[in-house]
Amino acid sequence: MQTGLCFSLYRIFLLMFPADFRAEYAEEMQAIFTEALDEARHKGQLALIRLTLGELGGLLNAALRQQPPPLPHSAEKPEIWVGPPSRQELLLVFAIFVLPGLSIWFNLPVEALSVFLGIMLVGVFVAALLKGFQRWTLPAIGLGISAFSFIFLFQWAADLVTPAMLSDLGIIPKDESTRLLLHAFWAGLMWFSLFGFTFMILGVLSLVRRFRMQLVSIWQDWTLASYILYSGAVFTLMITFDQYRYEKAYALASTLCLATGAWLYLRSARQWQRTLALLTGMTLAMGAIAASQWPAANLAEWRNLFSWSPSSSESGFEAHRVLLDWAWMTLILLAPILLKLIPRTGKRTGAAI
Amino acid sequence: MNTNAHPESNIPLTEVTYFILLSLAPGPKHGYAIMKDVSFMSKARVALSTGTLYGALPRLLEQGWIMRSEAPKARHPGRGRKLYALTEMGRSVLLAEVKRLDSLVAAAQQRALGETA
Repeated sequence: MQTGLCFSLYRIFLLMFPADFRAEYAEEMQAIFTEALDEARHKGQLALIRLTLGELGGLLNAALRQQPPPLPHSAEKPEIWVGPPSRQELLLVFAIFVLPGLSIWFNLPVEALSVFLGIMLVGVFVAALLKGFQRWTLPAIGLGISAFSFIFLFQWAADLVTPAMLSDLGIIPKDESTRLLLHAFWAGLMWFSLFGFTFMILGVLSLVRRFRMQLVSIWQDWTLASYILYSGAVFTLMITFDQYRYEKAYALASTLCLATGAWLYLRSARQWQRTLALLTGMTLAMGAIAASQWPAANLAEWRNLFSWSPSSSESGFEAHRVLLDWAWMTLILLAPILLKLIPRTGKRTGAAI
Repeated sequence: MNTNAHPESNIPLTEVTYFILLSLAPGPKHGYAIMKDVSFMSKARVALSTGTLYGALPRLLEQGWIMRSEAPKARHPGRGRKLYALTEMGRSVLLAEVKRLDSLVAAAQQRALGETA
């Protein structure tokens, strides 16, 4: 891992802080981080990774605390965030959640879907920048963030954990439990990359004055953040459906489940109902994946992907794997609400952090 | 700046605040030295990140418990080093907190003696 890369990431994360704070403390913080990097570099790669991840997490946490306080509870939420969905919003939800499944069903080339979704995402982003980040833009933003976090952040993090490093640690995927452990690690890394990246983007956007009032709504209703993360699940499902038999029906079923969850979310009035809607949609979608992977266990071409021989309990492994994915996704979807439950400090003198 | 002159009214402190003030008690330190010292004093239980530290320092400055000054340029010329030092007010708050913790420990010890007697 390059220390230059760590330092660049650190500087990017510093952008989440208000400008006046950065003017006063950023240089000092970077100097300290450089010293810490120098020290960690001599202790090895793991120490470097641990330091960088800890620092980035600390910055994220501190930056969120530095943001302007939420509006008073009595303040009305902008209309764009509440109320039943418009027809256009439903259409966009359908496009985001169901099109990937339909493209698999109709055997459309991945490139065509990628180009179409790419154009649509750029269009939504431009519209959001011009007109503001309204609720209808969130699924597209979630999907875009998910793709970026997977391609850049997750791949970067995955590159850090090299096979040689795993070998040094004695983690060689021979038995089922080790494979599950590794899968839990990778899945966690992927979902936490999405979580971190999402909040970094929201943090950066909230520094822009014209978006601040709209994004402050997310501080009021954290199910909106869960909704963004939920949209990222589409991307994850699509990369899950690879080399599996009968994938067409199951892919369509799982995306329809996700779309149903999103629709229920938009129709629900209370926060707990909206949270439940997302969890239900995600659980049903994961159920469809679990069902799809049972017949896949006997597929010869799938076995050839791995250097080891699949055990007779491959179906059991797949079941546990999907369960692990579900557990991570549930945790990430609930994370914004759990963060909201953390008591705010600062009322008492000296209780700064 | 916090103008409350009664140290007792500012306690109890959070663990992070307590350790930062305690770290500065012997003399001024720069940020990295504070982080290392807190880790040492807490036997690595409290690991401050720069985000946590610089979330706390501005508040302590605002409350007038610490002060900030330019560090002499020696080891790291060009780097934005600043020194932090306890003010009289900060020292009073720290002493009040230590006194409070002492009384808590004393109460616990008395109860323990009572049980064994």
